[in-house]
Amino acid sequence: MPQNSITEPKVSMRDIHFSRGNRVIFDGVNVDIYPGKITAIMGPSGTGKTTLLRLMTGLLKPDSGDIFVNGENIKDYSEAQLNHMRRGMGMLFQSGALFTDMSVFDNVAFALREHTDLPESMIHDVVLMKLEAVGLRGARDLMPRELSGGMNRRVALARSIALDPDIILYDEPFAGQDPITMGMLVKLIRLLNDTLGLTSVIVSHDISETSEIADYIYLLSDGKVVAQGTSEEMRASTSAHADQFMHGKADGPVPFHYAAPDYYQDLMRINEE
Amino acid sequence: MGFLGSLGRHILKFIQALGFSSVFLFQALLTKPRLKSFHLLLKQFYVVGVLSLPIIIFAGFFVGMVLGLQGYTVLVKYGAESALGQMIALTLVRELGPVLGGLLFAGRACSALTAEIALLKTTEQLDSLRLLGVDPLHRVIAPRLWAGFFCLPMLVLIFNAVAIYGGYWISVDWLGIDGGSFWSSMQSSVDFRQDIINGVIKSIVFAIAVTWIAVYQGYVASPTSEGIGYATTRTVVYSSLVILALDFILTAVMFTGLK
Amino acid sequence: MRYAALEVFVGLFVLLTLLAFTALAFQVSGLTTFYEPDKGYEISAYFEEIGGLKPRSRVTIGGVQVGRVESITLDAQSFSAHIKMNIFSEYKNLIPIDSSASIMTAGLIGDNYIVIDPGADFETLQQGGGIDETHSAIILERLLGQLIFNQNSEDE
Repeated sequence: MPQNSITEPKVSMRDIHFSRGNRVIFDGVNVDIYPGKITAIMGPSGTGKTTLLRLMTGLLKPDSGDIFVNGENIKDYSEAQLNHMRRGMGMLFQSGALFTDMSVFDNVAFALREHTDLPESMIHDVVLMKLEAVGLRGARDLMPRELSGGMNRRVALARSIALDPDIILYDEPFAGQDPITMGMLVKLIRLLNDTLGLTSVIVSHDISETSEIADYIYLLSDGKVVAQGTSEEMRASTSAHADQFMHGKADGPVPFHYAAPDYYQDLMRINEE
Repeated sequence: MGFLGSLGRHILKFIQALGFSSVFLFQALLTKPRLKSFHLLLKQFYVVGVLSLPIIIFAGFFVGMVLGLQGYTVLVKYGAESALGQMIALTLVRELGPVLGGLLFAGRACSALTAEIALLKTTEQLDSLRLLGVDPLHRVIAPRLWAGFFCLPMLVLIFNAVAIYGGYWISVDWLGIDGGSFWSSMQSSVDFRQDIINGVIKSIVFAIAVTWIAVYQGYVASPTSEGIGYATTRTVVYSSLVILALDFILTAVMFTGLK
Repeated sequence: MRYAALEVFVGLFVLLTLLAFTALAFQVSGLTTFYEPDKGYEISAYFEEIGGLKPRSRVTIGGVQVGRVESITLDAQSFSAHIKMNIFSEYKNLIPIDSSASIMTAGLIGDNYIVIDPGADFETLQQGGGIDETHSAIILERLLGQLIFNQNSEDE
């Protein structure tokens, strides 16, 4: 293992195979998430990065392979056991996925009300603390539809840290955000990771933001991990995949062209009867 | 072989869906009720029941009036217009109430249920619940199922009462039938257990079937805007057909051999 | 939607359902087992033929409903129908003891009901009393049969 091999990984995925219909999404993927670190899973769109997060949280089950969370194999977990495990995990969905029928305050308070018997006054304080952390204490009475995209994501972040999880998963946190929001999110992710001692996993294809904060990067392509390392290692990597992705080259191992018959023959309609 | 093969596949797929949806139903219903979830149920009673009231009352009133008018034109030929009350009441409590109420409910409440659950799925809110350690079957599905089970029979009772009074209004105030004979012909032929209670049982059976369909279709909808549309259409089509088919079976069991 | 308003609306919905159910039970099906507002009194009569008379059919005097049929049983000795009628309490001490009862049909194909023709006696029917003189239901088929039979015998 390239990282400190004394610490046990928080999440460990071993030889994961997963396919949807006839499409193979993962063909033997190994990923380790170490505690206290920000791990990024990167790769071109359509490589199943989000699926990887869903596998980690047990929302999906792999066709074969093992997933260890805190050293326990979650393969044979029941839904109740999974629900219990997920209380230690926070996940920021790409869409935010706020509960649309509840105010910002109630969204953040949801898990607390659901899983604890804290008095309402205590819940009130905890929620305000979480909202303060993302800078949205003033927006507590708004409904999700009244929020901008960036605010939406920050509320979702506050909600996912409501139960003080020790792992937090970010699904494309930067996608479709303006530069100000991106900067804010980068700062928040780093801050939360360091001050709360969290373990973070970021799934993204935004190289500059992600490599800025990630401690370790996995590059996925064609259902496999094609390159891995720290961001410096990745940038300097000689691997063709890493080179293409990190420097944003249009053509490379991931072809610009979708698989097609020969251009000349296609134009000349040679293969058509 | 091609035809048989695809027929076989469809049957297999249907049986698989039936099995899966049964497990789904039982998992949703077999949960410890908690005090905390009471307000969720209340909210669904509002969404499923109260919001369907206007269409049920409106439709009931007009159906009753039409039955009065049509029944009169037939019965008056045989000089039996005093049996109008009986005809209206029996038609309504045995057949039209549960069936029309159920169809209206499928169109108004079930389609909304499917669309809502499918939308929650599409916007990742169901997954989001799971991630917060809450099973959406308990939190989202169960209260909607229970609300549907109770609301349709309640709505059908209201539909029947409104329709009968609508029929009364037409018969007595408009067509000039004696009010006393309207009610007495009704009372002498409508039996509480055989007609009213059987009608209620019918509506309970319909309620279970259509709510189950609606909630299941929403839950398995493919999470795209197209998927929501398909799922909603499927809910209305399936639940309407199931109501008509079940009605035939229940009528055959309950009312054949009755006068 | 505020929580309190929600409760009010759902409460109204439940209330409306109860009202509807009560109306269906009492006004429509004439249910009397749960709640009997009018105890009335019971009289009985034997009929040779009752046609389509059913429990809860009307009992009338001069077209006014005075009670309803309570039960119909077959008398094993005489093979006639034993009808018990419940007469509303407001008609107590009113029906003479020598009244007669007949079964009529409303319209050509309507429901059967009982008509009581009051007699002239000063003594009135009481709880458990019986009407002796009865006229059976007129069965259309039999009437037609008789008509045709009479026609035939006149021809000969």
